[in-house]
Amino acid sequence: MGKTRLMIVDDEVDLLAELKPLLERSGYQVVSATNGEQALELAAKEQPDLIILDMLMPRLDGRDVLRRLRQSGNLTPVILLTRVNTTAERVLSLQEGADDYLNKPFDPLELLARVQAVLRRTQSGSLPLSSFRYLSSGTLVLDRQARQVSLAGQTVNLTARAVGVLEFMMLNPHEIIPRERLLDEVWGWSSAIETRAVDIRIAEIRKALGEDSEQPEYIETVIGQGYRFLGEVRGEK
Amino acid sequence: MKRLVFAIIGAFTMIILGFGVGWLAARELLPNPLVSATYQADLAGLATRAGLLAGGLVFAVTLVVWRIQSTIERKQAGEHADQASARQRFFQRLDHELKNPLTIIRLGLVNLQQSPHLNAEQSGSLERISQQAQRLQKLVVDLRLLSELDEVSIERKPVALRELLEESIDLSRQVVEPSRAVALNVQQMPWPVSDVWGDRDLLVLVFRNLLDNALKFSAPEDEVEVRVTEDGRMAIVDVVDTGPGILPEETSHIFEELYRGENARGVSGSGLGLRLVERIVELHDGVVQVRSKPEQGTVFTVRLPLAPETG
Repeated sequence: MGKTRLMIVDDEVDLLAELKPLLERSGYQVVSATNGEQALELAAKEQPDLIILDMLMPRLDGRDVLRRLRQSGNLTPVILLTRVNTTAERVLSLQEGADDYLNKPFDPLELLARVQAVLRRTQSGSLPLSSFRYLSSGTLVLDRQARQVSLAGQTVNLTARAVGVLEFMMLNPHEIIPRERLLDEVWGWSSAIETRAVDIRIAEIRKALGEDSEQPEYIETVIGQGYRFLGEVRGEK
Repeated sequence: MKRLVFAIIGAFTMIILGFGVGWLAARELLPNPLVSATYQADLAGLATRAGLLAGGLVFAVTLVVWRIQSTIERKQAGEHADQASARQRFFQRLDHELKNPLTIIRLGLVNLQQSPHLNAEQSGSLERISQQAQRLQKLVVDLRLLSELDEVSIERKPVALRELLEESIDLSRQVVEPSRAVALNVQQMPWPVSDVWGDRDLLVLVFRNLLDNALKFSAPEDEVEVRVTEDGRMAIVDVVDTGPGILPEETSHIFEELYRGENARGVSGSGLGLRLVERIVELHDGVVQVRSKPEQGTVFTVRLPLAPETG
């Protein structure tokens, strides 16, 4: 088996020049493209294992490339690099078949972690949880579209941000998720807000689910690192 | 719209008055010793015509005034909205333009830092560049928050002020100066201040920013205090410091984006803190004001609506 091959696509040549050696040092083989058309050609020819794709490019932008890939039946996992950070934007990119996305300016080490996570997920052959509307674990069900949570058939009252936190935890079960990551994903303002904001939402979720933080069924505190969703999560359309 | 209603009412009053006088005169019910009977019918006609004319005139003048005023108002509102949205677009673009360079700088830094052949001097330089990149990152985050904050993105729930302020004080002290004390006085009598109505995460940001400033811009021997009262409708939070104060000509500018006062040079900050404070308070239907006296100190007053009574 050869090295895992990544394709990076961005119209900023300097960004490619800095990203390539970083990925290569981590053991990947890397090809790059500077525009959408080139990306589509290269994807067909080189058949990379994963594509890191910039959203904003002249002419054919990242979303167009993604759409055309998926329409042609190409299911290569894609991580989108975005500069617009609205919730609507994220939902849209996931709906169009991105496996993950990262906001610029991102932490380079975070990108490496995401690449690994997406590869691990897709190599197991199952569809990513992010492609489902309902996420369930035991009697806990989260409806991602209606933004509602129920436990054993009973609706659970949660604030919008608590639903966001729970959703993100369920999308990444068994992974330790740092508070900063949750702030970035759910609030979108990471460093402007204190990490205690996350603890307050976790406490809200635990209370609503009747969870004992000493013996958690769903969310475990990993001291000094973050939180982890414990249960098995299944997706349903 | 209100003016139009008045104009119509005014005009009708005049017309009815005219007809009224005409009708009374015609029936000789109006004592009119100066006018002989032959003229009475004409007087009736005249009064009716005068009433109609006056009514029409009132209506026309009011209509014209109303049209002119509403045109001016519309134009002013349009200009105001144009300015606000141009500003908003400017900050969005600035945010975009900063993101790519910052991404590349961060990637380059990690590449260099992972190099095995660095001497102490080079590592030191890289560390300092990293810190500056972090500063720019903070600016980008604040810009993003500022351009994204709107009515829909804020939560409205009861928020306990004392707990919120204790947390904000702790966080500020930790970051700025752990050795400084900050006094907190919350009204307890004859009843404790009730909860405010809003977004806890954003309100922490408001008081964090005000307290960071109070601690950063005052000397270690200066005092910082937070006082909370209420007036039945709003909670009133004063963040007080006995620092150098803000120059009188600067107080009207300190809420502007990227504004830096004379005394603020050399103190770190993104230049967006107070603008964020103002924006968040506005979104809560509250008000933030500042009073300051040079060499005596500064008071920032935040008014926030109290949560609706439950039960």
